[in-house]
Amino acid sequence: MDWVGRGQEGVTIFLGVLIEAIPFLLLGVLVSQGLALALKGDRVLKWLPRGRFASLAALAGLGALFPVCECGNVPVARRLAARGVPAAGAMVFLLAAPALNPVVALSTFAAFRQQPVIVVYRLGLTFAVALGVGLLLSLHPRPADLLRRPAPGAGHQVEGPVPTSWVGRAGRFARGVLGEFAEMGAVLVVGAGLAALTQMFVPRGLLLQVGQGPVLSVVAMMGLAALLSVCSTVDAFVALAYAGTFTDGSLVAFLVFGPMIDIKAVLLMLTAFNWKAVALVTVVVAEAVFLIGLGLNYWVT
Amino acid sequence: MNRAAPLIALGYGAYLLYAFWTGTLYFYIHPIYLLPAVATGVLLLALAAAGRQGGEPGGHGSPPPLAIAVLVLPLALGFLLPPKPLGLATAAQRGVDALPLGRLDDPPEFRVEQRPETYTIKDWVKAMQADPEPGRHAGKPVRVIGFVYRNDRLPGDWFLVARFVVQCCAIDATPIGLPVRAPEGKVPEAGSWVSVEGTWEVAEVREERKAVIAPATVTPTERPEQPYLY
Repeated sequence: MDWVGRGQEGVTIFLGVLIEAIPFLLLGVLVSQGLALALKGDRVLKWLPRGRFASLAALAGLGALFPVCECGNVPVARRLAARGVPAAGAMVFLLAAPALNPVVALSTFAAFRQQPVIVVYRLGLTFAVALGVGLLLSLHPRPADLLRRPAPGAGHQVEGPVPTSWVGRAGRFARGVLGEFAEMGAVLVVGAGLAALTQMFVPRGLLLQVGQGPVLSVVAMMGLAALLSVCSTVDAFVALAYAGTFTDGSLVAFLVFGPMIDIKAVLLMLTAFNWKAVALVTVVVAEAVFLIGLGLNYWVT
Repeated sequence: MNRAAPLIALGYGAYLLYAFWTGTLYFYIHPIYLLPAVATGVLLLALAAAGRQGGEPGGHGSPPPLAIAVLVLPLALGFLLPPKPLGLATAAQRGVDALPLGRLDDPPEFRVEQRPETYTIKDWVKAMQADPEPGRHAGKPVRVIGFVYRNDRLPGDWFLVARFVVQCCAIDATPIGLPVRAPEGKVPEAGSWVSVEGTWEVAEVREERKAVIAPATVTPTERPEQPYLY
């Protein structure tokens, strides 16, 4: 075994994930800090429709306005929570937005031109799973307990008197962006490191051997999605690599599960929610996607 | 620590531009992400400069020391280690012929009027998937560049001329390869880059008909500027 070569190439994979994700992360942080300026107080609550179901559905659809993948959405979700959106609502946004947005719809369609129904499954089922998890979380008696303390996102909104000069304001905005970028970037680095390590030590062939079983293939593709941690904007192309060998239900499971739960996303999620909430959501989403994959394999395709 | 966040941004901005300048961004990401990476580098430098203007000492927005320490690691790896594109280790780990290239969505690439000697390794893999009968490719000219890869399933005097196909970044790189019968049984050093020129022929391996390149020449060559196929 050539450990030096393996280590060097592991570094390449590690840096590759980071270089790919950092533009999306910065975009997300810019949106988050822009929201901090634009939304004073808890005004965002007034824009949301009344009623639990309608407001959760609106938050699930909000991703259409933020076409960034999971690394970019967490800062936005933290900002929403800091602005008074309930924990269940912030979670719905976090789960739905990475896949339910125009960029991902386009890239999925580009990858699966031969099977456009995959795009429909991906978007529809993402919406359904996110909404279901949101409704479940909204039953929590003390929703604030789901959030991490201190209140997420509060630290990087630079408070104090607003400088009057243009340079002073730009500096203030930039410090907010850079503070949040550094905090989330550190988590991204850990996620990318874990993804690169598992890539180096778990042979892909092992996963591929199980690609044909209607049950095993779904489990394998969900595991692969969690390990790979590829950004949702491009994961359809990764799924395409398995389209010949894996069942359709398992491909849909990969496309729905990956943007919601993977190493990187879970670590980023922990910056906004406490670990119990994240564990609960991980388990519920995994169960739901598993059942969906089985359902597709046995009854649809 | 108030200066730490701008310094981190400065480091990452500088690294992205440095990797672009040295042409090594191709080792990490698909070329369509080159522009976002460079724009992010420029933006980070601008934010770092703006963030240093008029900051109150010990003010808000300072990331924790642990975050800073973690963020320094990729910068150290990126600046200090010699950049290396994926090669033998990843190819061995992922298995060169374990993965197909997905569904064949662009068969027009293989119209007859296209000259087969302009096909890349990826084009040939797709062509072989579209028409797996080795006999129908026999005699067609091949000219491809890739690195040398060996595995146990190949006959002793064969090797694969291999490349990675990248959809987004190095994490999804899929190794693919074409079998080559080494001239006079001399297999070049594994991992070295070669240009293979020859024609397809049909060979019998363990009672299975296989297409293999019977080369006229195997020439050592420089690694291409873009080491992956897309």
